[in-house]
Amino acid sequence: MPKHYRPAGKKKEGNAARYMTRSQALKSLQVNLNLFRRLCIVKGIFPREPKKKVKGNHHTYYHVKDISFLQHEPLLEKFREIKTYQKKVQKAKAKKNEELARLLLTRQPTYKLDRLIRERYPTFIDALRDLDDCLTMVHLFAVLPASDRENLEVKRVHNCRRLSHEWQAYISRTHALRKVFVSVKGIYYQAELEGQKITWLTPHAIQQVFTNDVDFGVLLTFLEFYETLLAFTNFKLYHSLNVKYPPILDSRLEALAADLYALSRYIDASSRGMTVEPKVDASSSSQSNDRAESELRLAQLQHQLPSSEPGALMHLVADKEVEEHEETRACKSLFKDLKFFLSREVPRESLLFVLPAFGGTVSWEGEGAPFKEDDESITHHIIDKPSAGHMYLSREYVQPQWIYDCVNARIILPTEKYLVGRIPPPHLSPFVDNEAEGYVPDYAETIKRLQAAARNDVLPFPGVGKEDLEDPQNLLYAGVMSRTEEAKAAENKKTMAEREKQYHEELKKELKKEVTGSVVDDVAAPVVEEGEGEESSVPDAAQIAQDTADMPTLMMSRKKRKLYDAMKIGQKKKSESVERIKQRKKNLKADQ
Amino acid sequence: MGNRSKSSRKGKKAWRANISTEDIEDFFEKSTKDALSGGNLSAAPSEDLFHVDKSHDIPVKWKIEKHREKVLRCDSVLKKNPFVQVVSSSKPKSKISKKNTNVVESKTLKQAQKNVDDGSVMTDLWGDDDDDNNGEHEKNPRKIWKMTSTIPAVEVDPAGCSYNPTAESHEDMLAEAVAQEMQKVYKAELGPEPVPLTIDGEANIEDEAGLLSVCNRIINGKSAYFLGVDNGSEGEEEADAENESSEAGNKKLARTTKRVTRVVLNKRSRQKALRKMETKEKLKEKLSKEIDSLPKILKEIAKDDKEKQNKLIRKKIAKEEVLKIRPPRLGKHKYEAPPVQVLLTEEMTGSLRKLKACCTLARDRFKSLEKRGILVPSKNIRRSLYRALDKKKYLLILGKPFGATSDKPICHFPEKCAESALKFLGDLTHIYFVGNAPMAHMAIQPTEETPDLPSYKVNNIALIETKKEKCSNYSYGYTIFFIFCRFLFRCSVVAASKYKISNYEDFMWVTKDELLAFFPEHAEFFNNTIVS
Repeated sequence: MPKHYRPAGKKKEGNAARYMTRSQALKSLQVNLNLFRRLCIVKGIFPREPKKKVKGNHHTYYHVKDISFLQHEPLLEKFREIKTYQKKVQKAKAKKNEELARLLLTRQPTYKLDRLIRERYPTFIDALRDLDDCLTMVHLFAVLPASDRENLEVKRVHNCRRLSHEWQAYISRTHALRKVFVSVKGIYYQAELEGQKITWLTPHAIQQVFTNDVDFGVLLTFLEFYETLLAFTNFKLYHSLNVKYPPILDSRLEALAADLYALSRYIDASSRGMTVEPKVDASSSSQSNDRAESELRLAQLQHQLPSSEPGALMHLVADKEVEEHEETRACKSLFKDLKFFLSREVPRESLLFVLPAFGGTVSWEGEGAPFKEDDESITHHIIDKPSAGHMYLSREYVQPQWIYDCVNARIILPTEKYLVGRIPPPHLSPFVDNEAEGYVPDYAETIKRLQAAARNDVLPFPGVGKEDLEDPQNLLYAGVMSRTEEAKAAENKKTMAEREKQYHEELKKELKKEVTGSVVDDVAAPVVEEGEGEESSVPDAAQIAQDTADMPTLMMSRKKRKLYDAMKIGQKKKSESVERIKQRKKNLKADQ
Repeated sequence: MGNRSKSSRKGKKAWRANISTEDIEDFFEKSTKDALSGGNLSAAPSEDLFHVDKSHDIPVKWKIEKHREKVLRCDSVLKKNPFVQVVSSSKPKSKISKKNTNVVESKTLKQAQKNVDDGSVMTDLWGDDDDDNNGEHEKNPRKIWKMTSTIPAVEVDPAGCSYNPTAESHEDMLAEAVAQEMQKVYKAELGPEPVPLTIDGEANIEDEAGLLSVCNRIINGKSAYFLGVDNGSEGEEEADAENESSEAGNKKLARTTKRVTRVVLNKRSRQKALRKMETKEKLKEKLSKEIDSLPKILKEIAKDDKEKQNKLIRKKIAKEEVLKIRPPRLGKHKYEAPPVQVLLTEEMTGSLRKLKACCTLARDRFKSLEKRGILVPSKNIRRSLYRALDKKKYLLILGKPFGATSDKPICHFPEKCAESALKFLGDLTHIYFVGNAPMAHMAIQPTEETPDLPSYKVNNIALIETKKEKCSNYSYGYTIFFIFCRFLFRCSVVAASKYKISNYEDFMWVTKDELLAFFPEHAEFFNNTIVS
């Protein structure tokens, strides 16, 4: 009998019963592949990797319960209904009955994803936890060119723009932004909402392209779900600020592609308790809806250029938000008394988001800006050209990287290195934990010292492990003090070790005495004992340290011990890689 | 009867007087009997013959009632006790349904009220989080909803990918990118060479006989060569074997002829006993030795155990680490990581304005979805002929079209005449033309991009269409050519598996719908001429 023989009629067991292939799933659900994919994406059902692949390695497997979960989805029926309806339309068209086809098209059945969002994210925190992908996708599609080929409508691109701006406006209004990292791919942001760290990536202000190896149909299905999710999240967030959600914007600012600024003004106005009356704008915009299609295309072209961002969060009335985190307060007051002006060539969209999030006032070159370039109170002019034309003496001309670095360091960095025409210092990633990595770049150390200096009046200067004698910053900022402190600490350590040694020796002696006292009869024994005692009576500090380190491992359970061992291996690897980097750096320097 | 009819009629039996009338008599007899007994039974209707006896029939309903009426003894005992309450076996349905409707109504009312309060279309999805159910939801039928992968949705690039990185980290990232590229190169180099479609050389062997003879010659030659070698070695071996066997035979013979004496037997038994003793002694010694070295053995075992444990741990860690970076294998194809987005050393300017940023974020997202195990990784399917098997497919080429002024590669139909257009599929042996007669024609006006077209006589646009049958080993179908503003031919592609795209960047087989998406301006024409 073959090994896997199973008599007919006997139930399947194990992986064969628990998993089914995709084509089996299609058959059991009676849907086509397209529809199945859509359903899976919307319901959040993913293929699994069973331990034993019964049908072979080249199949995709789904859990049987997942499929039966899909089977009971009301959306499945809805999709079928839509399909049959489409057939009706097609039939009418084929019969050249244009009238009927048009009529049918106006009454198409539609579906909503609200229920599914509630189902997948039972609480608001769940939704926030899963917002990373959603935000990245929405931000990406906000800058994609609408195309007939990929079925990407202008309307959707616009919706994405609106949603992303609403999100940014909320984040900057609540000062929840924590980290910014400009990479080649785009700009990474990290915000903290209700204890959840939300990271997302926004593209640079260049044209994004459709690549051949991407199935845009799939991405659009994801986008459909994410749009709904983000809309509901924004709704909840705006209501927490007592702002009506679908915000009504100043149409003049909107036309000038400054919707973020418009949004922030709207939030300000409504949180102040003022009733918002520009409903007229909304109605007028709805009237011009039919014209909108062509206008939107035009507008979208403009939107491709970096569009603007909320500027005037400065004139906020004192917030009634009682529980503010310390970090939020720090973020809020970073750029508090500074006034920024953005030049034409800097990434306006990003800076208009970041600056108000850290309490700065910002304006830009163009119409609808809060203040003009010749304003006397401007403190910083952000510029990204080799040289500025007309320079005001009252303000500093810095490159945009200065802002990002300030934000990540949470202090106002000295501007000399970032002045116009100079190559700025390296832009470090705030997402890398230098302590854990073990390797600290030079500039990170400089920033650390500056931070310490900024805190110096309150806190004592922490001892810095590695000092660069060449670095002027170090000498400037209490380098000497730190060294003396460190020397003291080292001395302390030495004395402590010595004392410990003494103590141990004394203990050993005591022990020896006891042993010799108790075992008098045996003659040979004391000699041996003595020898051993002498050996163990001169334990160096390292061995003691090792013993003390071993103690907890002995006490640990096996599982924990294994985990500990694993961690140690990882640390070793890390330290090796750090060594490698250092070696490389040395080599680099030697080459130069 | 038959016999009688066949026999001659000249005998006595042929006479009329002798013809039997038995059957007629039988009939009369029967009919008189019937008449006496009251008519033929077979002619009578069944109602007259039978009747349904309903006297003992109990209707089903009554039966059930009767069954219910019967009181069990235990019930009767319980009934006597007035304090025992009767438990109904089934719940009345009407009450529950009423309650349900009430609940639904109240809920909808609540929602409606909320809607009125907001004055907007949207409602707060998580509005009732805090009041009624914090944690478990009756709306959520599935208790467990877990992500399959531990890979984060948005992976932040390492520090070396910064637009203005430090030299060390940048070098690190560059090394990684280079390693990724080199891996591809090595894979291509070390992999097996593809089988060439055509082989250079004289094609003078026309008839099969000639080919066969050549083959035979080759095979014979080879076999002879191999045989020669084999024969030599085998011969030697055989000789050796013979020698050995003859010696062994001689000895055997000698042994059988010699008699075993008593003395010899005794000696043998003594020796045997001695050997036994020796082995016993040895065993004892060994045992004692082992007992002596027990701590050593224990140590060894402990060492082995430790090694095994370490191995296990290492395995575990490796598995976890792999899971962190590599997605599960979900389908036919492996996940391929996208290239690292890092600036080249000469591209590092330190200015945000001059940054050469990545413009393929859509791919990045798509790859992330694949990496997290949400989507099944797939190859670029548009290159394959083995897709959309129920539809006809058209060949499109990505590259610089003939006569175009701009350098940007665009999607277009293959140019030139039919055969040369198909040349890049390999040779033309697996393509055949169905006929020489054109099927249709298409007029394309020279656009601004292609102003000099008339100077070339053959500036054709070829449109190749294939249809494949799923069950056959090779594909067949039709290929249609649009020759510039003229004709449209049919040909078929048989098993096109190797492609050499010389001047083009890429190609794809697309269905009619996709074709329309590529050329929206020609949609009308395609709709009229091409079948899907």
